[in-house]
Amino acid sequence: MNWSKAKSIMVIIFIFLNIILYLSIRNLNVPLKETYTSKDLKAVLSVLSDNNIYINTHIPEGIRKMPLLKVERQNIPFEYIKNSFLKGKTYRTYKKGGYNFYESGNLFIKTGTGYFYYSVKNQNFEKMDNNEKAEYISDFLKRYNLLEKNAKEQIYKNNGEVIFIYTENYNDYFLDLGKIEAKMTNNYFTVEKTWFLPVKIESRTKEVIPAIEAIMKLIEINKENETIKIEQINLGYYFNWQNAQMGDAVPVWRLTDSNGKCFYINAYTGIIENGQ
Amino acid sequence: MKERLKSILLFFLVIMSIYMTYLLWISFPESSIFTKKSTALQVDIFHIIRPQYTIINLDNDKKEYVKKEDQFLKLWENTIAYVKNCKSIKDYNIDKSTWDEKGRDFSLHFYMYDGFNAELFKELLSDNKTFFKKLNGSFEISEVLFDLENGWIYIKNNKKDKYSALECEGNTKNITNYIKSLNNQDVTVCQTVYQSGYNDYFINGNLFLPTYNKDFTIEKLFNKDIYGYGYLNKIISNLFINMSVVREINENSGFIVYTDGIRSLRFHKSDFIEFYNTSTDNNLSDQNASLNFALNFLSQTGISLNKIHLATIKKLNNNYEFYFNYNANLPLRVLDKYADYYPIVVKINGGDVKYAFIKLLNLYPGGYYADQILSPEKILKDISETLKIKMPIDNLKLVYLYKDNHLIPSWELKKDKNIYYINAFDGKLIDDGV
Repeated sequence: MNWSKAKSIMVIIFIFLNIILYLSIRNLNVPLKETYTSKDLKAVLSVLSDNNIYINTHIPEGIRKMPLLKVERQNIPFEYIKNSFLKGKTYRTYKKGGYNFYESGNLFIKTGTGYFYYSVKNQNFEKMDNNEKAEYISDFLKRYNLLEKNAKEQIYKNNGEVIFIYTENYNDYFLDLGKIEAKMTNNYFTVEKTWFLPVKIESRTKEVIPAIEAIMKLIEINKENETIKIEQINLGYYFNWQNAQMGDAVPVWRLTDSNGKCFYINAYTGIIENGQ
Repeated sequence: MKERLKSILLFFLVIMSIYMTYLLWISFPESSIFTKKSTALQVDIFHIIRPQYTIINLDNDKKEYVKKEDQFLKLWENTIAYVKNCKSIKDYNIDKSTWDEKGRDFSLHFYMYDGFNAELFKELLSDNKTFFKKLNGSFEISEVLFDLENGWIYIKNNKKDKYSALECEGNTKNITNYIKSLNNQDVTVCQTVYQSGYNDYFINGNLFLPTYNKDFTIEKLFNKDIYGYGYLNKIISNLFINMSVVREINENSGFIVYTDGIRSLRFHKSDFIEFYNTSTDNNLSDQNASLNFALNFLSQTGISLNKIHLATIKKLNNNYEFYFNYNANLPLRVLDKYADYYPIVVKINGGDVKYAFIKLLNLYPGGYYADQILSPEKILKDISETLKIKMPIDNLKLVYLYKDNHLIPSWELKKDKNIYYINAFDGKLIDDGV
């Protein structure tokens, strides 16, 4: 037996095999093509408008497959609260409805599973202009390490009110309910934070339904036949299991109306999703 | 040198192909191999639908309590076979005195669970078209009396105090011979008291009083945990139509939840499972079809249908609630934080399982208790003194109580809506049921 010749043949066979495998994997992961033509889309929009539902935004196309994402709620430990905000202060602490409360003069802090709320009252806040307020908020968030990576920042300044909002993202998908909101209004400064730590992404990916299918679910939701104007359509992750520290966040289509109300549609199954 | 390079290249290509095969495998969407197949139900329905207690009435006014599961089932099985095969002559409505009189003859007396109605037997005993079909479907069969002398079958509706009799011709010889072959290990002499005074105490319901001699021993039962995470993976794959969309949630209370947004399975360590289904499908299904759904569901959860039986049926509009119990020589009661009374409940609505609770028990015998149980007189005396329970009580039964992972032989005492459990060996109150 010519061992050298056999090896050459095997090398050629394996090169072909690897090419086939590579092409198969690539084909499986290319964005899925929408099967809706512009005519279909028009018909769908017409049906929606007959049901008082109007789409005022671009409908996403070419959706990839998505895996489940295991997330863990970020808890703020008591040691952090004590060392950061209560050091050297006399404070009162108590528990109620699954939350821990800390009070010290004008300072009020509330923590729970994956939840943190900070509020302080100070007459000086009213004397600050918008830029000073923004600077204070930015410094505060940095000083107490409340900022996170993978966050999208939005800043609003309006009539003496300054709001910093950070929404959580994972691989360009939103991670709903992962949010930091720091607000200064009149003589109050508040910070509210719910954040998720992505723990593990499932290796198996699954097809998600086209956005148009999710939108059609609004007809089922809108039983009262009220006017719904959809302003945003986004694909992301949702985890809203209140009494769970950890779990799989599911891909959802989030449809946001003109009043800021969100409708979540499970992007795997197309059912209306409450996160539970 | 060239050969060495070729070998390295070949090695690299083999590794690459293995890796890409793995990538390809995990990239596949869930295919048909992951979708669930419905399995045909393999179960002897009369092992599921069975009496709670079996008493043999001997002609000399002696009564024997059938202790063992095997004998108990054999008698029930033979009775069902007899009803299926006998030639129906006529059926009658009878009065209480006739019923009582027949109970003194050589007969088999089956005490059924609550909620067993004629509907349940009608279809299952379809061979016999005359008798059960004539009964109103809601006729609750609380007791069945099989007269072994003349081959007649009597049934009693406890709630409405109604009695019916079926005159039929058949061969009772096999059953009679079987009863004669039973020995002290299988049966024990007992007396029953029904709606009458017992010594100084009065009991409204049934009381089976085994004779307290060395022959009356209670089997020790243990629970062997076999429901680990391997079991969990199996039932998840059985219960969810598309596994690929099932997500896992770790609740703070220690539960693990698996859900696809419509169906949810809560698993508590290896202790019990809860199932919720929020689908709004609404197909009408009758009681027997619903029972079949419930049994199918239980077999999907890995519960061996040979190890359970139906304990109670509750009906509300189109909803059926089926309560099941694990087979044991005495009825089993479960008392813990999450379960109440029966270990298994399956609720069916619109032809689909909407809720289920399954206490995961794997019972196995471990010999007999050496101690004698306390007599009912002693129990009744103690409770009337210490607990100030006034007579009459409603019921007193010997049961296994599952509590804190132990099976305790106990007297179950019912008074109004309260249930009391008293340790059958030391007389201590285990639970006051309030």
